[in-house]
Amino acid sequence: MAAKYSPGDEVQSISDPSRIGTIVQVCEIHAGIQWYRVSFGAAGRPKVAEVDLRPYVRAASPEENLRVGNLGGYKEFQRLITLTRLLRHQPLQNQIYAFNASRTRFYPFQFKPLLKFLDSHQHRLLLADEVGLGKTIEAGLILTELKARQDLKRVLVVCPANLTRNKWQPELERRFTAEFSVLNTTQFLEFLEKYEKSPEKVMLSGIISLESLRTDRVLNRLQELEPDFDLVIVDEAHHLRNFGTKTRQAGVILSRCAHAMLFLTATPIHLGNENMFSLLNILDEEEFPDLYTVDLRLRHNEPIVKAQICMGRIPPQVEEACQLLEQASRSVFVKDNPLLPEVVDKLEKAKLAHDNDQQLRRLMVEAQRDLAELNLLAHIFTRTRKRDVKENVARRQAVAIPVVLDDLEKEFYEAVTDYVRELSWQRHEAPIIQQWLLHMPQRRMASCIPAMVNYYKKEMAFASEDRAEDDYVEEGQDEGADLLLDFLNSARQRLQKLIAAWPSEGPDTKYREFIKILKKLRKEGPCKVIVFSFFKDTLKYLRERLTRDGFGCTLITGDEPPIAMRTEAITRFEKDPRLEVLLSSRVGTEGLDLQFCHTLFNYDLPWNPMEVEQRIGRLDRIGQQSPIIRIFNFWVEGTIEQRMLQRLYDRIKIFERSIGELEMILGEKVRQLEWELLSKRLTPEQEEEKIELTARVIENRLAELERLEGEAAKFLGADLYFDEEVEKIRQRRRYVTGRQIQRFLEDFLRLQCPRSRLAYDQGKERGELQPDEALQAFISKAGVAREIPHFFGREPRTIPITFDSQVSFEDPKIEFIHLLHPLIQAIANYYDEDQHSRIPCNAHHLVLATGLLPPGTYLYYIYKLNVLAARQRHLLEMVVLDEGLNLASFAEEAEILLGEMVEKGQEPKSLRLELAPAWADIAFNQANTLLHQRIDQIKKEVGLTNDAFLDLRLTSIRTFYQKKITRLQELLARGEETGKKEPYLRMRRSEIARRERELKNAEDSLEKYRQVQVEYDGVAAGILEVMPQ
Amino acid sequence: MLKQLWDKMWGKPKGIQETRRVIPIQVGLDFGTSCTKIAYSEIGGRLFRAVVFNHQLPHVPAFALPSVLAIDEKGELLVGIQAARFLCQKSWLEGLQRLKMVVAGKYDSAYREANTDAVFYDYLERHGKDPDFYSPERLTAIFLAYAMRQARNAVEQAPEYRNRQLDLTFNICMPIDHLQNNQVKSVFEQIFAWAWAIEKNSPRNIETAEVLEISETTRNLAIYQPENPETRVFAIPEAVAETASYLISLERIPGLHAVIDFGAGTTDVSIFNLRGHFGFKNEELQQFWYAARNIPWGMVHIERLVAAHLGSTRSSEGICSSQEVADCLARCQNHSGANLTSTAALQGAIKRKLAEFHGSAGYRSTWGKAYGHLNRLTAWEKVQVFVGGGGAQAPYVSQVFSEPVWSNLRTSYRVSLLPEPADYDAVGGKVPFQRMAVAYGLAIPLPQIGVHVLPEDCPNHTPAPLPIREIPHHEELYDT
Repeated sequence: MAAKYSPGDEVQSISDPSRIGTIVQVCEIHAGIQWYRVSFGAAGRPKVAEVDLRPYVRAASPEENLRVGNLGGYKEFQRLITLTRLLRHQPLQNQIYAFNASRTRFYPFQFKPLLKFLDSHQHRLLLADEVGLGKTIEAGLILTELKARQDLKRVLVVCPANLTRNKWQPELERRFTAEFSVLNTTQFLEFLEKYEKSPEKVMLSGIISLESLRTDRVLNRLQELEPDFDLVIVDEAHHLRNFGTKTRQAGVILSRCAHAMLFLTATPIHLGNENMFSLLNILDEEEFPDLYTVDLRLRHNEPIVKAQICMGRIPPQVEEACQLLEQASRSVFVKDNPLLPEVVDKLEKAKLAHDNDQQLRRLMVEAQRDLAELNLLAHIFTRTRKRDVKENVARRQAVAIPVVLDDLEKEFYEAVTDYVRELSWQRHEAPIIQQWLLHMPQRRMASCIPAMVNYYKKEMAFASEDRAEDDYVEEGQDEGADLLLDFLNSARQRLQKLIAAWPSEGPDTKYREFIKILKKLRKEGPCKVIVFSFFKDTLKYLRERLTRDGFGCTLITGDEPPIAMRTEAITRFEKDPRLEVLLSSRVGTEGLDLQFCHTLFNYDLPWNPMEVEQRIGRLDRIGQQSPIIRIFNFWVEGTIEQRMLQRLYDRIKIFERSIGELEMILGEKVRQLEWELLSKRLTPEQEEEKIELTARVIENRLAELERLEGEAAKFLGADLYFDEEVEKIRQRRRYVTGRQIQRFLEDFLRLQCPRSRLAYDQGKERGELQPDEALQAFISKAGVAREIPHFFGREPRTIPITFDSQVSFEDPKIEFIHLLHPLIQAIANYYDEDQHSRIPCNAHHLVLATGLLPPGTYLYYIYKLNVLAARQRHLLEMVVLDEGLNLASFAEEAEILLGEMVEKGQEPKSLRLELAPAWADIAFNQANTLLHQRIDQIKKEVGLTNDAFLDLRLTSIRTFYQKKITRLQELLARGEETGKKEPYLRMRRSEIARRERELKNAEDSLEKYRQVQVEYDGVAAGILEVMPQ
Repeated sequence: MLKQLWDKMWGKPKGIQETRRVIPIQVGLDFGTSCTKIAYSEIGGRLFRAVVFNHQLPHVPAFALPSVLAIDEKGELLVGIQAARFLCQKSWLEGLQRLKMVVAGKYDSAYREANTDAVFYDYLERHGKDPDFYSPERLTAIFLAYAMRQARNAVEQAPEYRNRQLDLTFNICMPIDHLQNNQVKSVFEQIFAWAWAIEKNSPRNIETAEVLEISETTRNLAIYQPENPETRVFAIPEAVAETASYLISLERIPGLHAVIDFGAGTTDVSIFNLRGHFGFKNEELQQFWYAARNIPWGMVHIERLVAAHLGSTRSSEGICSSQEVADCLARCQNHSGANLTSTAALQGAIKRKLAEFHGSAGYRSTWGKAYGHLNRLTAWEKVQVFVGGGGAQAPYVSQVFSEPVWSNLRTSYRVSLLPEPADYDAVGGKVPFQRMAVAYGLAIPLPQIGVHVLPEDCPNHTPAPLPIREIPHHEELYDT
């Protein structure tokens, strides 16, 4: 038997077509088969059987490869499709990049704002979700998606000062691997300086506080320069609502500078109220110029919203929806919309399609999509309420624990009260200050008497040494003062005596009650509770006592552990069964999620109701697994807390429901009440009256808000369509899954860096990657080494990895490898640089067990379509033909099939199929004919809205640039008037010219798309063997 | 239009055609002491598949072919599944079992186990069979021919190969160890060739009466000739086959490894060093076997213990069925670590038994032999241990094998299962890779199985001692 190949021949492996090599040695004949040693470059020099080799012939197009039988398998198919989806310079329209690309739990509703944002023409969105639904995450998802689709040069996050380092910076880093720096006024001004010098080069990922932003220096400079931002996110955007304030002015300027803008606020939008208008006006001044227009839009939107609701019902109320649409069509905002006749047509068809469920369903989905597009506010406004979310929302259950102090504790309470009162009178302060001086020790005692005893032990010892009383007695004081001093001394002596005699195991009624409940909880099952206290001394005391009583504790306060270690401490508490109690101050757990726990103790109650809400809010978040959150509250009889707070909090049901929406008024009302109670000496009846009055005001406000919320739903829209859309993304796998990324990486390593080590446990979704020298060199060459420095080291490093967002959410330290990971992007770019030689196989043979097609053998052709229109988009379209060359699957059905092929495909069990060349040509022609039909259909669909969208986009761009140009012209004119130097004037003129040029270019490039065109390119083709499921 | 033309000219289109005339298939036959596992791959294909037998034997997994023969009431020889079915409700020591050990023990005392031999010959004697004719070699050859036929049938019946012309090549593992020059190797090679000849010359189904005849006629014709292109049966050391999956995976790391195939009758302990500078030098990793031993000790010892335990709860020992033993072991496995009074005593006994094996001369000498190739104790602080085989999941196995044999090494080895390769088709998850690792390796054609150096040829890898810098004597430096 003569060897078919000789040394030097270029060959391709049939079983793994990505391996192209050269014969280096003709080896033995084993079991009747000739073997060769083949050099595959980095992949080594293995022995290969003659039957596994074919002469390597370069074939460019998929159909040509299919024709000559140059077929790969499932592995090659998946690599090619994954690559097509990973390439960011041509983002696919039917794909969401932010799916599985952040360290977050998956909640479908959190993708709604992203979908709206992608659909909107002016890229502006008011995100008004209820508290606890994860607005930060939603904004992060939008940021991730934009990062995937374009190069973001400058992104600015604006938020209140307390959220810069405590929330936004860690959240963006932890969840979205986005490094943002917190900028103070000086640093932001420095950025503006740099921007002025070279606007194109300056990059920014910054967070600035509203307080820093509204300083005159920053505002003036911003106004002067109007730098371009790719994205601006404003958290707690309701701070911008008041006209005439500097904060609002900052918002307006930023809106002028931003290509995309997001406002985040949980505050309910008051319909017809100035607040909503104010925010919308900042976002889009053209569309929402005045209150009247906003009111009008809302009113005209009502029938559309109702029609959306009708279509979302089961079964859909088509008849009613038609009538509402008829009503909507009379609106000036709707009547000229080219989509209107389309929707009407679809609804008419839907009426007739009762007995054909599949067709009805398709029409319903399409009609809902069109209605969402007709909605006059949906493109700029989104709101999700907890009740709209399908995830289980936990119920709050409050348990009041009355504590009656024993005699010794009561005596101590009174002694301290007397002493502090005498002390405050000595100071001759204003009554409010005196009340405060008295109030704080009382609160501390209500929190924890032993901690207070300890405090006074130290305080008294210190005071006696330093003769502290001298501080309060000035020379030459009168006799009255002496008398007061006597009272103070006697009160002090009483307290000192009491402290000196305080037993080492003194009474602690509150703790006794606490430990009783803890032990009971422990008996019920694994115990994990969170104890909040306002005072650090109380927390430290509790830690000591609980440890002594055999309860493992973790303490988190503002002081310890350091901020960077807090997440770790929380994780340890979550995972370690020995740690049962988390002791925390408010500052300690700010911004941290404690959903894994469902029992909370308010060891003492804060006087700010929002703080109570924040404490509960740590547990009552999306992701809470327990249906009930238990909240234990201690009330010490006879204290001011019990008199005032318990009554007020019980009235407004603070423990039972979320009062996030009351933030704006609640703090103010309670502060007012506190003032009233402390600054005046009131009788118990008067106290009661004041409390009652405050409670009533808050209740009325709540009722008003609920009414407005109902109204909002009526006017703003139900967004049912988007929920379906998210589900569709999941079903059709319009995203790159973790498994696909894993295989993509494995494939690359096997071929290019085979000495790298990758071990991955599918069940646990955890693994290890040990990069070899070749991988490190590749990373360096790709220019991403700075982003993943931990991949380097003198010794081989083992990096714990995951491809799953859920695992990465639970373990913040694990390397999360997703589609935007620098390594994956580098690999994608590597393949993309020279696709023909690096991915030589674009025709495949794969097997799929599915119910989508009858079992049999099929041919498929996958094309990438580039729709050149106002909304330019790239699509993957697949045509599937059966053996008789009849159309088997197309358009949406084919999209589902493609999703399954990528995710669930299998290698063929035998490589025995090939096409008759002439037949392959006919099949290809047939597929092309069908593709052209599909292209015509897409052209028609896009053409319907293209002009309208183009005009909107043009208006939006013109407005954006005109504002900038006008502003620059003003500056130029002012400069000329004030006699500024020539270089300054020259700079302004050139800037105006540049902006005008940019506008012209933008207009020209958009006008090109007046006529919809579709280009296409073959991506893959092959044989699909369908097996029954 | 074109399609219509095609239809008109050639009738119903048959554009998708099958390519090759003869499909070469590589079959891996993991001939185990109690069970035989089979996997196959198409040469130049993409998948390795396990063969699943629909024998419905309660105590034998569907992917395992019982390595057993029996003689029925009529004196007829039963092979494999039929034999196991016949023996199912009998004492678990009944039947012609543990053929591999009986053959190996006949030629090498290291494999000999008096108990096993006694059971084998006693069975023949009780059934009035001549031990010279019913020799362990012949019975092994018949069983292997039967296993080959089972494999052939399974491949031919696979939908993708139905009505196709196939060319099957068999790789069979043999219990070769670091002695290498023993007679066992050539005996098994000869048996494999004999088995192939029986299989080739047998009609469609191997009938017992005929097969004895065929075995007689082919006995002298069968010669093992691996270099002959017509040969379709090859002998491969078990240790080499077992590590094949690991060596092609992305999980491999250089360094010392121990693969412990804790089988039914024997435990294969092979220790190798994967040499080459991982990741940092562009050279192939090469596998150097320091030691490979097939130790006649396996799950059967644990099973005996279980049988004794079960027997103690009854009137006499040894009468419990295989099914009961398997069930009891499963209970122990599930409750491993739990302090259940019903199994606690048994668990303790199992642990002691395993520790006994760990301290046995056979196990220790294997490590000792390996140490001879790398004579530096600190190098043995880190060894990656893989446990496979039917006993891998038995209670305390991981714990016992994580301990080094050298008591002065205060370390614990990392014990894990062999990595499952991406091209392994587990037949819908029915066949765990851990049980098929050897068969998988055997389904790789011999030329590809990798670069390896067996113990006999393995050089000493002990690093040279650091040179001691000698300071010249004072008088040499200075004139005195």
